Order: sequence, then C-alpha cells, then structure tokens
Amino acid sequence: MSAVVIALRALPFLIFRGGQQKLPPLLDYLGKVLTAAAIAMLCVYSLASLCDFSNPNYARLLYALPATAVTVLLQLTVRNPMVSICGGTACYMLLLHFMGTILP
Amino acid sequence: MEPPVAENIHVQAVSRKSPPGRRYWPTVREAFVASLPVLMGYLTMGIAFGVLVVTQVPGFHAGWTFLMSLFTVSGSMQFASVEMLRNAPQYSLIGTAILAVLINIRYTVYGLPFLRVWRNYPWWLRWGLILGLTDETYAIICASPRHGKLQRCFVSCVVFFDIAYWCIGTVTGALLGNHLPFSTEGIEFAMLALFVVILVDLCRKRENWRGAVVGGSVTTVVIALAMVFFPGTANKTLLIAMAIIIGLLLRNAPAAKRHKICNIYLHIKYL
Repeated sequence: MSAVVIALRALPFLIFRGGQQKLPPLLDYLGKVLTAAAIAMLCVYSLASLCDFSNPNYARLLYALPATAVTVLLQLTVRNPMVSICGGTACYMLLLHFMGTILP
Repeated sequence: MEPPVAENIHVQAVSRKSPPGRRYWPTVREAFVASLPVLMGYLTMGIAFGVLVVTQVPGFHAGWTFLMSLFTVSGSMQFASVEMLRNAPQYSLIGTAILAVLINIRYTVYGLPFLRVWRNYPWWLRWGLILGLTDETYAIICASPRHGKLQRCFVSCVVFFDIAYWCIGTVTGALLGNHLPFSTEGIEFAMLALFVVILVDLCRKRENWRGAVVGGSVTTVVIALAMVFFPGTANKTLLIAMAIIIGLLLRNAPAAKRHKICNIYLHIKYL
C-alpha cells in the first residue's frame, strides 16, 4: 500500500523527466474530477459499511445520518476539520450509546 | 498565513549578509508558523486514526502504526486501510493496490507544479519531498512566495514538520487506544466524518459538484443493488462502482479534452 502511494506521488516526476512540460489535458481533467468522485464514493461506502454488509443493521444507519448532517453543518459553518470530525463522531457515539437500548 | 511581501524582502536582504547558519533560521520559523494549522489537524486526525486502528484491528502493534504513517503519510488511505486490515482475508494484494491508486490519484496531480523546480534539488531531498506531498502540505507550499534556496529550505521544513506531526499523532493514538477510560464503540464514525469533511471542502468549488454527485449516486445504486440481490458480496462492490464512475466521467468529458486521450499514449510512447 505504501509502495503504491509513494509510486503515485513520484509518477509525474518519473514520466515527465524530459523537457516536456505540458501535461495532457485529460490527466488534468481526471485529476480534478476523480478526486471528488472518489471521496464521494468513499463517503457512501463507509456509511454503508457502518451497518455491516453481511448482517445489515439499519438502526445504525438511522444514527449515522444525523451525525453526518452534524458533520456537514459544522464544516460549513466552523470550517475546522477537527471540530467537525470530533463533533460528528461524538454525536454518533452518543446516539449509539443512549438510543442503543431502545433500538439495538 | 503568508507573510507580507515587504517583510519577506527584508528578511532576504538581511540574511544575505549574515552567516549561512543564521540565514535560514527565519525561514525555518516561518515554516513552523505556516504549518501550525496542520499541527492541530494532523495530531487530532492522527490520534483518531491510531485509536481506530488499535481498537478495530486486533493485535495491531504501535510500531506498525509508526512505519505505516512514515511510509504512507496519507490520511484517507490509512483510514481506508483500517477497514481492509479488519477484513484482511477478503482483500487481495491487487485489490488493495487498485484501491490505493483510486484514493490517491490526486497526488499524481499535486507533483506537477513542482516538476521544474524540484528537479534541481538533490535526489534524497526530492524523494523526501515527494513522499511528504499531502493535501495540506501542497496547499502551504503552493502559497509560498519564496524563491531559490529560501524556498527550498521552507518547503523542506514544511514537509518535515508535517510528516513528524502525522507520525507523532498516529503513534500517540495507537498507544492511547486501549487505555481510553470510556467506551470506544462508534469511534469508526471518524472515518466517515473525515471523508465528509474533505468532500464538503471540495464542494466549495463548483467544478467538483459533478464528480461528487456522480460518485455518490453511482456508489449508492451499486451498493443498494448488491445488498438486495447479492447479500454478502456488497463489500466487494467498490471496484465495480469506480469503473462505472470513470466511464461516466470520461463520457461527460468536454469534447475538446476527450480527443486528447491519445496524447497520453504519445507521452508514454516517447519516454
């Protein structure tokens, strides 16, 4: 995994070693668009993986959605990743802890 | 964050006369000040990652966390790897590699602005900088107005500080992990929260909206279908989703850009 990440970072330096300075526009385009798409994909995926694929537990989804909303709101207003992540996670953990007795 | 230009000129003018050791000191200090926000972010995120990996993956040693952080220095990838390590038997080496490519393809783009300048640096420094080129580091060194040796000193310091913060944060988290006084049930939400935060920041730019919408909706549909029709295989859907996403995005690529696909092949051919 580390090898792949390092290789990815080094890739442009290895490819464009010669005098060629212009980068292919398509690579540029993909680099711009794919990041957002990949992150959005990971959001949905990790949201789904919270409620265990093999044995779906939809109550967890019920807790995760408000917590996600809190995270988004915090990030939109406070603009501090630390605050948003801690706030959202605390919200989810509290919901899981206190509501867990009602909806397992 | 950036020092005023006038002040910067002053620093350069003064330092030209002072002995070489002294000369870089103000730049080192500026680099530290510039990386302070990253200190806060990386320490928290690192601790969150350390706690997560130790509590979710049984038998994970803090030393491994350190090695992983030192050689990967990638928050999103390491968070994603927690899930992989937990269900290790279900992920092949090739699958892991492909996922790493997908998550971190952006780093390839980050290197492009620095190609010309970094080529003149010694190889060990260049590889160190390449290793530490993260989102935050990229943002800081892009904003730096310096030139020549001062720029080199600044960039090296920022990269070094950022890697150090990340390693310290993750190891601290890993050491704390099993001794937290309260229940850590639900801490896995931090992973989702990190992705959401990155996505929100990306979506401040209008041009990222399409990618985000395509990525999110395709994955939702694929996972929902998989859960309904093939229960038990839903955790292997990531590759299918990504293939569809790339296909859709390429279809939507502006025509002028699309016919330049061949350009990539030409580049590779003439290396």
